[in-house]
Parts: sequence; structure tokens; C-alpha cells
Amino acid sequence: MNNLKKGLYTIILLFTCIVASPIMFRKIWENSDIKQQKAAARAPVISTQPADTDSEGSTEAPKETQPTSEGETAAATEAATSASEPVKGTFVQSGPEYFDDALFIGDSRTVGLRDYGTLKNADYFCDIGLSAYKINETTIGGSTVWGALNAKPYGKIYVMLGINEVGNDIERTVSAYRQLIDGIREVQPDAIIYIEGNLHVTPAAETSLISNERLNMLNSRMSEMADGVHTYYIDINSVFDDETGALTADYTSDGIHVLGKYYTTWCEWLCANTVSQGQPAAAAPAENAQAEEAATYASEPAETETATQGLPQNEEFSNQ
Amino acid sequence: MVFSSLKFIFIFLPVFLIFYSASEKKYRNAVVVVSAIIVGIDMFMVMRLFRPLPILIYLASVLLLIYESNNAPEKRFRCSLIIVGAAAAAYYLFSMPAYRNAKSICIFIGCVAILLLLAYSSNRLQYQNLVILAGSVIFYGLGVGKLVYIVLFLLTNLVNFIVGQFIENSKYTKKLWLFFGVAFNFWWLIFFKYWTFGTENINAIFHQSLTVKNIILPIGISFYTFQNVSYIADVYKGKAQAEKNLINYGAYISMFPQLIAGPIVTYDHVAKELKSRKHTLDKVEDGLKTFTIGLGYKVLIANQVGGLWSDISMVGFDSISSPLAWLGIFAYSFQLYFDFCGYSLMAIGLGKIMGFELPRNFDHPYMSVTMTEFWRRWHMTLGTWFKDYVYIPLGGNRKGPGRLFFNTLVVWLFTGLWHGASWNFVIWGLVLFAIIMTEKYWTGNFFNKHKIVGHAYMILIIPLTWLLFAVTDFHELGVYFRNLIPFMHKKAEYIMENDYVHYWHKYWKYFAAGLIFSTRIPEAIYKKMKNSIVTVLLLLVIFGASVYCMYRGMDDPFMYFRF
Repeated sequence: MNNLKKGLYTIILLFTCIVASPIMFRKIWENSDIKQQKAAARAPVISTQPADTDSEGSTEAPKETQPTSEGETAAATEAATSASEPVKGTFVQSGPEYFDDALFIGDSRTVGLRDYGTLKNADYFCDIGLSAYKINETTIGGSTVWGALNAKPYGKIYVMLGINEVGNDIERTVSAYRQLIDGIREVQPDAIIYIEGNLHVTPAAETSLISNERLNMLNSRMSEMADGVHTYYIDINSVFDDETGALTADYTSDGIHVLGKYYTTWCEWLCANTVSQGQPAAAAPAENAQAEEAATYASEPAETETATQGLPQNEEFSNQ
Repeated sequence: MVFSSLKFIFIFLPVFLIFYSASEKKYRNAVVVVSAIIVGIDMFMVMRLFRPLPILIYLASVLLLIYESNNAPEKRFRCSLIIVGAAAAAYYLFSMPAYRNAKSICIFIGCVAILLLLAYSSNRLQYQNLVILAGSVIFYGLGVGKLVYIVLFLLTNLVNFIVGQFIENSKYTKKLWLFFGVAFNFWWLIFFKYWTFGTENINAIFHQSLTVKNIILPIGISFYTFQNVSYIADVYKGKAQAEKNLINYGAYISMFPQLIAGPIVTYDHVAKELKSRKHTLDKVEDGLKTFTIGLGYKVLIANQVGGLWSDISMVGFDSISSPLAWLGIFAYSFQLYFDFCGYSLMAIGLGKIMGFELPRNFDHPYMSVTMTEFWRRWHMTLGTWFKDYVYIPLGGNRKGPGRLFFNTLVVWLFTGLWHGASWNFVIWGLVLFAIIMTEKYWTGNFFNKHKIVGHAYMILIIPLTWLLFAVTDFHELGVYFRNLIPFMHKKAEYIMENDYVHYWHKYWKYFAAGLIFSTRIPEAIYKKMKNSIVTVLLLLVIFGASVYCMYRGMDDPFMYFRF
């Protein structure tokens, strides 16, 4: 009995460790298992919901009207666009007031944009570690992304996710991302959705899982989701890249995020790459030649159509 | 591998302790059965190794061990354990194609044969020292990952052991051997740690173009070099007797608790315990408690409060306001202290479990009133080392004030360089030297008399010196210093408004914890209530929370939900 009292901590600790060990071993095993199989692009594994979120998702289903349609981009947009002819937008320069009715959804890069950027008038739904996989369950400030989207109508919705997911299967990421975009489309049918390409990392920050090569793969898949009508693809990398196509080392200290002061540049770039729908095709901003490439890519077929169809769609949702 | 990782706590440590204590007949059966169940769960439920070979190895091992634990005497039981361990290691190693060649198989079989031979022929303590040596080499190997470094480490141990023998036995060439030993040890340290720094500076100053090589520093080299040197110096001075047993010596140097981050244990500290030590339940209990406290320091305070420093580095020193700059260096100071102190505590705790009394490394340094006192309380074993093996051999304070000045300068210059090969560490050392000298001749008495002023002075000066320590780039350092001074601080658009409020809100809990645990109060309470149930429960909570944090930290590494 005396021994038991003397060794109480030892005994309880040993017991808890023994009980906990299978869980810990599973964790360690999965961890090393994953590291071994290098993150090469594999065949698609999961096309709809990620398996691990299934259970959680079913138990705590969000109260807001969460879109139920999954992977119906084509159908949804067709239905929307068949009514009125597609109106393609062009990229123009806008002032910061453009972002009055904008919502930014994103991970830590967007957190930086919120905290250190100049666009304080916009709304932000972002958190460190936010990912497209878990976005349905993640609550920030007491509401999920769907709560934020249902709270008020937005004119523009910017989405930049992917750095946390990029180490994973690309198909899975793209499918989760597409679900998110479709959902936003459904909740906010009139908003312009900007799909932001993921910022590159520096070579020093590259790992077997996170690399610019994989980021480029992901970004190009994301750019395919843009239809140039409701969804546009913009890519900041032209601003911050060095000549090798990696994030310039001088702009960052951790290789992943730009330094605080460069978020000003980022915001200026966002202002310079806003979509104007139905306006007469204005000249794309000249100050950023590389960004212009991206702009023309997305708006190439727009030149003719916008001229003929001068529907001022912008005003439609601003009145709602 | 670090102590604050799941792998260490849940794999390395249990396996090590099972081997270490493979003796007592009455506990054997229980240990074998419990381990067999856990390993079984692992192999078949977690790893799903449903192939004939692993199943066969598992069944054979369990049967062998159960049979042996009931019949075999202690020595044979050890050998059975080693055989089982070797089978598991072989399965793991040779499942990787890189090791499937004749050379590594020969090395492996050779090592196992030597271990078996030694284990069978030695008494209990010898065997335990052997386990410490073997386990530490494996621990080190898992850390450095390269065979060359392991070989170098073993070679250094061997050379120092031999040099120790020669110094003790020779009459006329003592000095020569000492010189050789010191030169040998420091050569490797200089080569690995300062070569790059040296060539870079030679290139810059003399406009040479020597090739700058990017040499990877083997972990722990700064620590084990100092221990080796202290040993041969002690033998030379007659302060300690040379160790006659290579395994004991290897166990002393490599002992994994202190191998990679101190404390720097001098030989006379553990000489007695290497030859005879007692393992009691009290010590194990005490050791586990100390380990838990250290783990909590590291995981729950240092890692958390350190988040602020990495946040600041991430946004860049240009984009922080003055209050945030101050908050940042306080956070860094806390991180440094709890990281290092936690590590030392874990080492001391692990040592205690094995029956060693490792020296204390930190004694509430942030409670000091002068820099002189601070450095008597911070990383105490390093300070003692410099005092015993640099300052006093140089003449200490016995050769007049000029010499004292010079000796102190040398000590601080080396202290600076020991912490890292870069100019900011040199400057850091020199600044500390200047502060300590002014305290010695001028301000010290005042601060000792007026404790409150002394504390205020320390609160200001410690974070400032740590800033010199933290930032290697001089331009960045300048930017940071400018930010610390409110009126020199430029207002800029890219500074988040009230950023310090934002970050304070995020981190104040860890600041509070850091502040509380920097004082003497928690330790005093702990000492009084050491054996009460409340302490036990509290420590369990700390352990659980730490493990949970580590578990979460590893959360889905595939996705790295970090950004």
C-alpha cells in the first residue's frame, strides 16, 4: 500500500500510456506511412466528400442553407446562363471601394491580407489552416462559411485555398474546391467569384509535399473552373515570382507568406484586376504587364460579346 | 529525435526501459504479456502486417519470451530480449532496399553478436550501462541519420577513452596527450561548426575565393565535445580517475538524456553512479514527474509563446508597431527559457529514472537582478564549464585586474561563439561582457541593494540581449531596434492598426504562464506538495495536454494544415 502511494504517478502514467499507445501508434504509423509514399500525383481516389469528414459532417450539419448539389457545376451554370446569354467580363482597374461588398475566403495568406492589407472595407472569412476539405465544418467567429455567405449579399467573392491541401491528392482537392465554388454559386448566384491561384513558395520552403510544381498543377486545375462569366481566375504569382517561377526570397521570411509590407502591393494588384461585367471593354491595366496576360487569357472571348450585350449586371445584386 | 515527440515517448522510451530493466523475475511476465498485447495491436490493427513473415516473427518472439521469462536466469533472459529486438530491427531495416546488401548485413550481425556477448558476460550494472550506450547510439543515429556521424561520434569516444588512459598512466608525456586530446576534440568542433563561417570571413576580408562548403553540423557535437574535453582535463588535473571500462565511458558521454542539448555533465558528477547506483521506485516517480514538468514547459509554454515570434518573423520586422516589437522579444525570451529549461528538466528526469543525478541547469534566471547573477543561473553547466576549463586555467582573477579583464573577455567571446557561428553571436558575447564588466565595477552593487530597480533593469536588458541572439542579419537587427524605440518608429500603412492588441489577445495566456513559471513560486509549491494527490492529478493533466498538443501538431502531416 505504501508502495502504491509512493509510485502513484508512475502507475497511473504507465496505465494511461498503455491505454493511449494504440492511438499514438496509429498516428505515428500514418505519419511515417504518408511520408514514405512521396506525394506524386496519383489516380483519383475520392471524388466527393472526403471520407474522414463524413461522420462529422452528418452529425453536425450546418444550420444554414448549405448547398446540397455536388459536382453539378455544369448543370447549375448552364441553367443560370441559358436564361440570359452569358455576359463575359473584362479586367479593369478599380478603386478600393470596389471591395465594399467583397468577401475573401482563404487560409493564412488571406489572414495576412486581412491584417496587413489595405482593403479594410471588405469582409473576410479566413483562418490559418483553413482548407477546402474541412470548410463546411470550420467555424470562424461563430459561423461557418455558409453562415457568412447567407448573412448578406456579396458582389464579389474571392477564394484562395490550396496551400494546405496541395500535398494531398490533386483530384480530391479539386473536387472539394469545386464543391465549394458550386456552393457559393448557389448561395450567391449574382456574385462574381474570383478563384485566386495559390501563391508560390520559395525553393527553400519546398518539401516533398509542397512544391511549386504541385502548386502549379493545382492552380491550372483551378483556372479551368473559371468560366469567364461568373467565375474568374486570377493569379498573384506574376507579381511575386522570381525568374525561376518561385516566390522571390526577398519578399518573405518563412518562404510561404509574403512579408507584411507586401500585402499593400497585393491589394494594389487586386484593385488592378477587377472584373467589370457588361461595361464596354476597357483597356486592361497597363501597369502590370504580366497580370494582363492572365486577364486577357480569361477574357479573350469577351471582347466581342461585351460590346454587343451591354447589360449592367453589377447593379442587379447591389440592389438586393 | 527530440524528447517532445510522440515517437520518443511512445516508442523509444518504453522499448529502452524494457531492455534497461530486463532483470527482475517477478515483473517479467507482466511486462512481456502487456508488451506483447501492445505490439500485437500495433502490428495487426495499426500496421496491418498480415504477411507470413511478420506474423511468424511475432508469434515466435512472444512464445520465446514467455518461455524464457519463466525459466531463464537473468543473463539468458537479456539475451533473449536482444534476439527479439534484433529480429524486429532486422525486419524493419532489411525491408528497406537500401540496406539489403552484404556489408550492412555483416555490420548488423556483428553488432548483435557483440551485444549478446557483452550482455551475457556482464553483471547487472554493466549490462545496464551497455543498454544506455546502445540505446543512446540508436537515439543519436535516429537524430543525425547518417552513418558517418555515428562513426565519428563513436570514434571520438574511443579516442578520448584512450587518451584518458594515457594521461593517467604516463609520467612525462601527460601534457602532450592532453594537448592531443583537446586538439582532436576541438578540431572536429571547429571543422563542423566554424569552417563555413571562417572561410566566408576570410573570403570577405582578404578577397580570397576559398570554396565555402555547406557543412551540416552533427547534432550534439557542441555538448559532447565539451564533455570529452572536461573529462580529459579532469584526468590530467587528477580531479578524476580515468574510467577503466570503455562501455562505462561510452555510457557517460552518450547517455541520451543529455546527449543533444545538455546539461553538460562533467565526469566526476556521474563517476560514482556509473559504477554503482540504485534504482528505486522513489527515483522513478520523481524522474517521471520532473520529465512531465519539462515536457509541459517545452510543449505547453515554449512552443505556444514561440508562435508570436514566428508570427512576427512571418510578417517581417518592417511591419510591426513598437509595442508589438517589445512583445515579440518578450515572447522570444520566454520561448528560449522554457524550451531550454524544459529540455534540461526532461534530461534530469530521464537521468533520475535510470538512477543518475544530473546537474541542475537553470535556477530561475529571470528572477536575477544583475546580468552577472543571470548568467550564474542560466545554463549553469555551460557557465561552470567555461569557468573551470577556460577562465581558471587562464589565471582567473589571480593575475591582476588587467588579466582578469582579458580572461573574462575570452570567456564571453567563446560563449558567444559556442552558441553559434555568426557575427551576431560574437557581438552578443561582447555586449554581455561589457554589461558584466560595468556591473562588476560600477552598477552591480546598486542593483543588488535596490532589488526593484535591478528587476526593472533585467526586464529591459535581457530581452534586448536575446534580440541580438535571435536575429543573425544585421540589417534586420537594425530595423528591429528602430522599431523598439517609439519615436524613431515610422508609421506606415502596412502596419496593422493596434496589432499588439490583436497579438496580445492571441497570446496573453502563454505570457501569463511564462511569467508565473519564471518565478520561484511554482517550484516552492511543487516541492511542498510533491507527493500529494493534487500534484499527481495536475501532472497527469499536463502530460495529457502535452501529448494532445503533440498529437495535434502531427495532425494530418499530409495536408499540413499550418498555413
